This record gives sequence, structure tokens and C-alpha cells, in this order.
Amino acid sequence: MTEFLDALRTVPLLRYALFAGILSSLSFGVIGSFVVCRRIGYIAAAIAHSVLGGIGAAIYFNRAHDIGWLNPMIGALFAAVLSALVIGCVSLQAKEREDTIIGAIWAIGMASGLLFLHFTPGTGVNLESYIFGNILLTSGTDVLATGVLSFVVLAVTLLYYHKLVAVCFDEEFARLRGLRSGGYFLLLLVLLAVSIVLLVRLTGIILAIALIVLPAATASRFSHSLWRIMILAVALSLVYTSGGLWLSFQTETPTGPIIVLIAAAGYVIALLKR
Amino acid sequence: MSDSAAMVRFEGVSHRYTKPLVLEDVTFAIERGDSVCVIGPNGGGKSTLLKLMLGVLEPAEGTIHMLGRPPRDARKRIGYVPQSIHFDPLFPVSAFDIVLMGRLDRLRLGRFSRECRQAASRALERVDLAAVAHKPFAALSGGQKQRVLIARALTGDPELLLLDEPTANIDLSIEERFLDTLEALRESMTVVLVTHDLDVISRVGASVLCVNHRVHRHSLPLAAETIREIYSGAHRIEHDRRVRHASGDHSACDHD
Repeated sequence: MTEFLDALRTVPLLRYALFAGILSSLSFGVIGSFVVCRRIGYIAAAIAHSVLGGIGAAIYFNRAHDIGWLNPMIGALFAAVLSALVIGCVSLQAKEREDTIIGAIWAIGMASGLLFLHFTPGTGVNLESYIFGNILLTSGTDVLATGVLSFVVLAVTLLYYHKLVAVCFDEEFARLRGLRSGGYFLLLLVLLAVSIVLLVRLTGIILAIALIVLPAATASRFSHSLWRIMILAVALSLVYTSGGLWLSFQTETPTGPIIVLIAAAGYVIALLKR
Repeated sequence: MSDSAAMVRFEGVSHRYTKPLVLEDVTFAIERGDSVCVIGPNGGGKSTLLKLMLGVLEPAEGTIHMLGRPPRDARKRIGYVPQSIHFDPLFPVSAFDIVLMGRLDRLRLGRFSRECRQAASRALERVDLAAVAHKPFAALSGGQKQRVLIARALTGDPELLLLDEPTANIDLSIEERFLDTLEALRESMTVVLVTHDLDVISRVGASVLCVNHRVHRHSLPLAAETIREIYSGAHRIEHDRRVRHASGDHSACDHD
């Protein structure tokens, strides 16, 4: 442990990784609670996989057409929000087609991302760091962007908390009380999309869904109150990301999978305890 | 009371989802203070009638006025109690949180106002559930859950209460208290209640709308011949079981 604390003081990359983990935990603990209680984990998985399309396109246009401002984070954010809106609109307007469109967006995102990266000029892109994550590649700018996006997600959730809960519990009644329930469902999916993008650096596209779902699912075993589930999920997320970073540092193993396995172990223990 | 003061007025209303008409040339009015049960076979158009009253559906033909206005404009003055199968009964919210949802139209940003919270407390007291206000909704009995949903409808101070099969998922042994709540409500507001339950009709209804594509109004009590015409044997068997249960004969009941 002393060695890890010393490294935190002397190695900026490790410090950035810890800050990014703590800041993103705040948002995915809160949004993950909505995902688990509204039972839309499958939508979260589709959005996570669609992100590769945005990352691939951003890297391609950045290098092939010299669009300097278009970095992978912006591409991921654009793809995630677009996928969330498409899935949300289909879910609201044609529920019977929801599973088809989720499967399509899942596959199109991955396929287009791989194709864009194939045609990207220059030296090879580290695809593995996006698919499986590499928190140790986090920069100071990434930490700042993570902080800003986490703050936006938390602020919007706090302001619209009761309306989001009402739409998740009984969409029809919320609409009859004058709420634009479709709009609030789309807002929830956009917040979910932003939280997933925050997780891409941490755990990668494939493992992101685990950190959205597992802390909240574990927390829901201990409480029947949504806001208590959120607080517990945030606390668990902080423990998982910090603990995972420490363990991967000590054992010299990849951070993303370690974080996810710790979260999974927490969920299994919660299942066995109660 | 004149027809123009009707709480609910349907004039020549027809509605179809695909080809055949679900409701055909429906005309009726419900006056202030009435307590009306809507009955009829499955697929006969009961739920469609309720959705038309709420403005969720638009009629293909005819006009509908709720409290003298088009249904969408009258929604804030209508309390609605849906069937409990419409939502996840394990969703982690308290009874009080659910009742507060009846005041969503008065919520801007952040928390509900003190006035809204007081109205929610009063509504829970009205259905005799103040003691379980902060219990998880999932931990309540079927009858308590339905009374919470009634409190949610009442917290918006409605003039008209619409209930969609409120006894559909309630255990017989706790239904009595729920029926007391409904009986008390009919004294203070206009109630329209969709039900298959002949006992609810006899306790709560002052008259009956029989819906089977067309709508006919009957006063209560219903003649045995009318019940036979409206319902199949299964409903009469259930009615007979309840009559025997009430008289202490539990031979036809499922419970211990």
C-alpha cells in the first residue's frame, strides 16, 4: 500500500487515473441506479458498443482530413448520444421493434468503428485500449473533461430527479399529469450515454456495462429507496475503481478487468448474503 | 341537472383500432356526484372508453367533453387509478413518493413544495395509510398498493375519479377495507369505475354502463337476467363464491 501511495505522489498518470475513476464513479453510480431499477441494462450495452463507431470515425477524420479538434472522446460522445436518441425514439414510438434496433445499433457501431480504423492512415491505432480500456493513458485534460461531464450528469439528475423517477415508475400516469414523459425518458438515455463515454477510458467499451450495472445492482440488494441505492452505488463504485487501481498496480495486471472482477465479486457476495 | 353540466358527455362517439369498430355510436352523460360502474366482456371496449375519457385516444367520430372541455384540457381535474399491472411493483420508491407523483403538474425543478408534501400526507390519511407513508411500495399488500394509487389520484384534488379494474389483483380477505375506501369516495366526488366485480358494483355503483361495442345504461340493482346477459358463467361463479365466503362457507375459496 505504501508503494502505491508513493507512486500516487510521484507518477502523474497514476494520479490522473485515480481522479478520473473517482469523478466518473459519481455519475455512473447515480445513472446506473436508474438503469437497474428501470431495467434498461440492454440499452446501456447497445450504447456502449456503438461508441466504437464514434471513436473510429473521429480518429479517421482527424488523421485523414486533418480535423484537429475531433478527438476520440468527442466522437464517442456523439455516437453514444445519437444511439441513445435513436433507441429511445424507437422504444417510445414502436416498442415491438426495440430489440431489433438495439441489436442493429450494437453491431453497426462495432462494424463501422473497425472499418474506420482500418482505413485510418498513419501508424496503427491502439484499438485494445478502447475496447478493454486503459486508465493509465488518462491525461490531465481527460480528468478535466470527466469532471465537467460528471458534474453535468449529477446536476441534471438532481434537478429532474422526481420527474425521472415518475417516468421510470409509471410513464403513462406521468404523461397524464402533464409531463412530457417521452422527453424525460430520452433525457435519461442521454445521461446514460454520457456516463458510458466517461467509462470508456476506465474499463473500455465491452466492460463499461458491468460498471454501470453491478454497483447499482449490488446496492439494490440492501435498500428499497432509489436515492439510498444511488448513494450506496456511488460509494461502491469509488471502492471498486480505487481498489481496482491499487490491485492492478500491485499485481501488474490490466486495470479495467480487475475493476470489473472486483465489482462482480461484490455483487456475488451481496447475492449470497441476502 | 342539465346535460350541459355533465362531468362526462359522449355524443355519437365511435372508435376503431384497425377495421372493426371497438365502440360504435356511443352517447351518454354522467352528472356531477354520480357513481358509475363500467362493465362488459373482455374486448367489448371498456378500456378504450376510459382512454377516450382521458384523451389518450382521439375518437374517430363524435365529440367528447370532460368537465365541459375536451379531454386533454380537463386532465388536471381528473384523478386516474390505473391497473397495477401497468408498472413494476418492485420499483424502489416509498408510498409517499408515489402519492407525490399526483402533483407532478405543479413541480418545476428540484424538490416538491411544502404544499405538495402536505397534500400528499392528507391524501394518505384519507385512504387510512398515513402509518405506512414511508414504507417501500413493494412491501405493501395488494389492497394497500391500490389505496396508495387512489391517494396519488386524490392528491391532485380531482373533481372526477376514474378507476380501471381496481380490485383485479386484491386478495379477498383484505378487499373489504378497500371497498370501504371506494364507498367513502363516492360520497365526495364523481366516480367512474371499470370493473368485472359484481360486489364492487353493488357497493360502489349508483348505475351501470354496459359496454359491448355499444353502450347501454342500467340503474341498480341489476336484474339477474341482465347480469346473465352481460357476463359469462365464470363471473357468476366468482360472484357466488364471494357470497358464500361472506356467509362463512369457504369450501369454494383458495385461501386457508
